Amino acid sequence: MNFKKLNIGFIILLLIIGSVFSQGIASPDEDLFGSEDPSLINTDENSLFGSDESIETILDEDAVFGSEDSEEISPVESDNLVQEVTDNQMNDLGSVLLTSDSGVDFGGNFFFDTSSTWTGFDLEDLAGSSITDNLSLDLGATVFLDARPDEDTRVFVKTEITSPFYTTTERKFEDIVTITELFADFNWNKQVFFRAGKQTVNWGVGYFFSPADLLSLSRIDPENPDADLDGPIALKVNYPSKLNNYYFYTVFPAEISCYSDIAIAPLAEFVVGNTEVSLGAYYQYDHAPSAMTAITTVLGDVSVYGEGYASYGSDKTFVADNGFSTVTYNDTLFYKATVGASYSWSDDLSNYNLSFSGQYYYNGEGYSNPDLVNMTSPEIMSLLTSESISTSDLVETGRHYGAVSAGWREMWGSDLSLSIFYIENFSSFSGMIKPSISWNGLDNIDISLSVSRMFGDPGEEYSMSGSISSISLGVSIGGTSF
Amino acid sequence: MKKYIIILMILLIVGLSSVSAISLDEADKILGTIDTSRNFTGTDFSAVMTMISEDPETGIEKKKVQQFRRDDEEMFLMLFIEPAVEKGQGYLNIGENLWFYDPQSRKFNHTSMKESFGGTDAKNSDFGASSLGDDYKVNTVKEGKLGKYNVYIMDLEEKNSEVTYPAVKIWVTRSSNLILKSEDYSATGRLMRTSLFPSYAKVADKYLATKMIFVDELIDGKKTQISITDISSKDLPDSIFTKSYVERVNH
Repeated sequence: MNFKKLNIGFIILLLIIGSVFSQGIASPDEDLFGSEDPSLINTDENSLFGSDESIETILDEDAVFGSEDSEEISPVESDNLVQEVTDNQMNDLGSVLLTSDSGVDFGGNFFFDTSSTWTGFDLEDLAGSSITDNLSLDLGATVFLDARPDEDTRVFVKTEITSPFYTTTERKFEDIVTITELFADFNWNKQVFFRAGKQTVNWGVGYFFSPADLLSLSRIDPENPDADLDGPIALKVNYPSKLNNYYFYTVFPAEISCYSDIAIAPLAEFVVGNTEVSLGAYYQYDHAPSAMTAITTVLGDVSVYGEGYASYGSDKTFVADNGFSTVTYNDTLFYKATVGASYSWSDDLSNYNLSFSGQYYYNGEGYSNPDLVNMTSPEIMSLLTSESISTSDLVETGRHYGAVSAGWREMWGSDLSLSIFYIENFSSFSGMIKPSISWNGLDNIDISLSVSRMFGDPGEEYSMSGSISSISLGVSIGGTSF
Repeated sequence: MKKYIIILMILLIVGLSSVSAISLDEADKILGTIDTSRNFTGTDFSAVMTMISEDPETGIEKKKVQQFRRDDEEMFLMLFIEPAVEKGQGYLNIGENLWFYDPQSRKFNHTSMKESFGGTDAKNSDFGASSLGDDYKVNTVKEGKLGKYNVYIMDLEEKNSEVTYPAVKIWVTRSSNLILKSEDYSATGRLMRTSLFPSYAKVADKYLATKMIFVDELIDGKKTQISITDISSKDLPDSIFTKSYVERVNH
């Protein structure tokens, strides 16, 4: 009898063990995040999936971030895992973000940057270096007003205000307050969309160089490639069709006096697989007509892009081969092309947040003989003085360019970031290399230290003063968006 | 004695048989069922996501994102509404293309589904249509329990290299095929992330996780919780899933 009881007890014990084993509930991870966890986010699986209580509020957001509107839901299953949601959206969802409660939004960015630069380090004779120092201050803000009286109408204005806030003979009011954008949006039947006014336009896809960007009034600054570019005054007509987009721009110069001043510029964007292709053109009476193409795609984890440009004639004035006269080309084909790639990688622990970007640029309007446009030559100075040529004609004078940047953000999880930037005009062999390190360990304060080395003959594109080195210490205080 | 041994063996077999009550083929079918029940086929979907991220380094951050989905055409748009510094940033997915829009530079750049979503513990792939059946095969399956829920516990292995995690372990409710928990592993078998889905909504006969908790298993204390509100399955205008729309809603 005792033996029977013992066996029955043994069987029950085995059943219990078997049952527990089969259910896998014994996994200790469910107790990993117990009540001692000070986190706001409760990851305790016992409380999330427990047996006695319905699903509780996981995080008391209201206590931390203020009250939120609650949704209208009602439980439909006894265990409360699933709740049925009543679709209570009354608005046209497409308009949700196209209107604002107040009708008008304000916002912008504030910046307060100081920079100390010591220039003139001679690497071959450091002791004999003639060093000059300079302290600069950039205080300012961009401020925008975004008025959306209804979903079909919008007026947007964006200004940039920069110090010093007084005028001189050299610094006018428009240098202090600049209208960077001023446009109105409207549409026809929500099928054709219009934007009229001064607007930012990005036709190109290049990161450091973008010859296909036919409309922007300013060029990309390779040292600050993410900065806004100055856009034209234009009427943009956009017809989106599934994956493709069709645009037609009517471009107005800032100072217009007759219809022939108006330019037209159609653009089409096509998506094929994971590749996007753009085709565009620009025409203005009495100017060189031009066409562009741009392509972006992804190869593995690498983003790849390319641009092509062709123009019949050129609007630039060129220095003639004799060096002391100028020449224009109205019936010559000019080509430009660029290819580039970018890649970023991070390890599992985010110790190595690495990024890389590189680009090659062929400039068909460049000079094969860089000596013709050397800024130290008396001939060039004479041409500039006589206004036979302008400084804008002497931008991007090389045939071949290359630029590379690499970064290591938050090194080993610290507040330090490392980056290096390199650019070279391969025609004149002038360029710049600039490693820098930055630290953002304090809220609202960023500190960066960079060493720049310009190399090349004096008067060349990136080495006006010849090969020279400088050190810069920059402090950004309180920069923020609002 | 012999009788007890026989009874014992029968009971053990019965007990252990529940370890794997369904075949791998049946488990594979469950993956397909999960996809079907989570994807909004035949209807559009929109919602607002509130994301609370905790990071031992940077503290607590709150982000708000407007989400639009059209799973039939493999499209989604996610636009940041808050905070002000990220407002206007967005992810636009159309077929094989995923672009990130930066309102500062006004540029769209190709990005990857494997990337972190807005610096949180969520990945871009967490927000598109579900494709577990296409992307993974079931290696093992057993019955178990998670809290009060009877679940299948499945070990999944990638079928293609496009997936964010090569191996995943999921806890799926036996009654309704809802994923309650998943563990995401690297190719070397390292646990990278644990995800918890303690709350679902039924919308237009589809199931949507309305609370998601992502725990970074590599950085202690780093986690993100996502709450979904303002859910709608109403049709959306075609124009929403365009670059033009992203530009028009932006400053």
